[in-house]
Amino acid sequence: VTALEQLSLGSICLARGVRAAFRPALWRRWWPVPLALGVVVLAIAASPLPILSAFMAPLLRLISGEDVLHFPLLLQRLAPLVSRADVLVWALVAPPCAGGVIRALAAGFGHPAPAVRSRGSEAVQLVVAMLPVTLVALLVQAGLDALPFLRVSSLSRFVLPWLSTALVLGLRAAFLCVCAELVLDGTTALGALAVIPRAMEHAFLPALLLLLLLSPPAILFAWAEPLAAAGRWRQSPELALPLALAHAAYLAWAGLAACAAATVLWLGALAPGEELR
Amino acid sequence: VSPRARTLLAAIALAALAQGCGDDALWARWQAEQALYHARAAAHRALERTPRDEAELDRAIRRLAAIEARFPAERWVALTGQPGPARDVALASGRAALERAQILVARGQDEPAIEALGAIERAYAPLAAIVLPARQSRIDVLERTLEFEAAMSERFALAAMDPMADPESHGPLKPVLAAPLELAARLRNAGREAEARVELTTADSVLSRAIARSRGNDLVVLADGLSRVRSARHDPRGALAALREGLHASDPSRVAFFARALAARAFEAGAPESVFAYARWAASLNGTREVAGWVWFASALAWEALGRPDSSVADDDAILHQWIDPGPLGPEVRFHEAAVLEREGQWERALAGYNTLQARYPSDPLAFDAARRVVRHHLEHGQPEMARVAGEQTLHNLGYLLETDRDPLVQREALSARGDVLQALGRSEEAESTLLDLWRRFPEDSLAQDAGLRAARLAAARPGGVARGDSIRAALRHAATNAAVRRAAGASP
Repeated sequence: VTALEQLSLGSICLARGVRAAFRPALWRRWWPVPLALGVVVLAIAASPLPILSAFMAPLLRLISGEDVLHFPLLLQRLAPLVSRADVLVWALVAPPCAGGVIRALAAGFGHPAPAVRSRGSEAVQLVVAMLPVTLVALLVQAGLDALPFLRVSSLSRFVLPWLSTALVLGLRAAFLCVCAELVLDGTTALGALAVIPRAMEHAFLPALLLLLLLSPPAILFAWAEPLAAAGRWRQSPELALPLALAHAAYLAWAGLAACAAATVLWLGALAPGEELR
Repeated sequence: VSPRARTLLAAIALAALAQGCGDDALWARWQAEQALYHARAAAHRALERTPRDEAELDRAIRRLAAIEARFPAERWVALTGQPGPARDVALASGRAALERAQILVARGQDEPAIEALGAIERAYAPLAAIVLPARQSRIDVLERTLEFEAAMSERFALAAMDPMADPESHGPLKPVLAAPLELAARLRNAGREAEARVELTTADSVLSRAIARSRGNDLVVLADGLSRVRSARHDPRGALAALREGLHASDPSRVAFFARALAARAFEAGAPESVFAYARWAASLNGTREVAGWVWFASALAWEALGRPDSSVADDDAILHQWIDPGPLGPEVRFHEAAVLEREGQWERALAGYNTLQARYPSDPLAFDAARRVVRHHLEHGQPEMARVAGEQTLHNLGYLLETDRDPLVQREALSARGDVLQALGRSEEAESTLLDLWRRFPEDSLAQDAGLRAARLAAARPGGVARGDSIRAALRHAATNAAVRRAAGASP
């Protein structure tokens, strides 16, 4: 398979995924993800409220220091705090929902998934299968948090964040079809991880392409949120909250699009008898 | 239990949870800080607009007053003793009150501002973070409105504050440490030497007691403050002792700076030999221009005091050769070297030094002094033509500087120098108008008020200028904030 063919397959998968991400039928299975992302944003932003502060205040102080609950510091730290909490949403909430999405989408393509004994055990298998990505993301996050306190050259200080972002992106591309393999092949978490070498060979470029193409709006949000929180627009740090909610909404939509595109990619390139040669 | 009763119970439980859980003061702090942030931003926007947006400013004042009313001092200041966010609520309320008073100051509403600042000092008395800026602002406004006695009382109150009341670190407050020095200088300026001595003695004992119960960085800051107080008491040996105490407590990164201060104080203490020892030590610890440069300069001063001008000039030269840009030390070293050479009769070298200083640091106050010295030297040595040529060149340079550099400090110094040079050249009418111009442009500045006094003397010395001199004196008696100038303006010419 030439690189050009892989890229062409990636763009087809992305187009199908984007179209699928507007279908209400898929949102019926995916809604817990945007809900969880939204709840995370609101719970952090509204943590000084008496109803939330008993639980949230000690937690936020532990994570982000004593002064985090001052105005506008909390809004200035909202984006990094949310991105840390989102790791848990993507690790625990998104994989089981992805199972439902993959099942529904594959049925639409005439490739029904094998029946499972228990949806609960499939959800656990999906979470376990995606665990390496979660762990690496957490490790990278911890490393980036520690970077200001490390004695490294200014070049390393500049390069390391980009390198770690590239590492996580590459890892996500390699793992993109793991959920689809688990659901549609009816295998276990360990069995699904065995698809990675095949995916690296046949579907890595398309997976990377579609993840890259879904990234720019997220980069835009990452640029805009600190500016809003610093009061640079209309001197209103509160703008950080609607921006964070919009960011969460986009992430949920992009997550669904990526999940749908990954299903199409698996069906086109990795399903038994469909491997690109 | 019926479903309706279950729903009701759940609702009651939720309401109880909402009321009973969490920290009300935390929420109050958030609201107070949020309201303060927006009210401040609105006030700053209105103040920055040209012309000032008075309607927007009124709205900002109302918002700030609403914060004070919503989080009243009497409730929240009483809670500041307890740990938690209540103290921050009181601080936000106090900052809103301060901001409102500052707007009154900016609008020129001095009387209401003085009243508001006084009320803030009383209402937020336990909060040094509020009382300190309120007191400083009140002093400024009182002095501007010529209420010197009231301003002095405020200065006494500022100097009497606990120097260890820093709200964040519970350590020393630098403005409070500096207050007795400022107060003593003003008292001396007003001829109240005995009160100045009492104030400095009190500060000495307060700081000594604070040092006895401090450690680490606090002790370092306090020792530095005490050494300054003792220097002001003309007790350089006591100042040296205080610095040595601070030196023992300071961490290694600050030892060099202490050694530098010790070198300077040793010079003041009349112990130039100690200067060399401290200077060698400081330079061996830290070879930067901030430490080694300054201690070499202290050595140069010490050599001069010991009657060894050659060694003094050699130290100055060493600094200028070591660093292409010696930083803030540059003008000091060049001026000192040129002045020593001038005293030693090496006028050509001195002139070269003065000229280099003027060329390299044209807006430095010492460059203006160098220009004055060049003209004065020619006049003192019976070279009026040389003085005229040098004076014309200086006037030309000063004119260019006044046109191109709008920094108020540079404008003030340049006008003062132009007045001096014109006076030295015998152009008294131009000198008088320049000095008057200086006073009109900086009416609250002591140096400018002194220039006004000189203008009055110049006017009175001219034929038929007595009436004009008297009118300038009358204006000075009415408007000068400097007590010495007012007294001099009241005395017969």
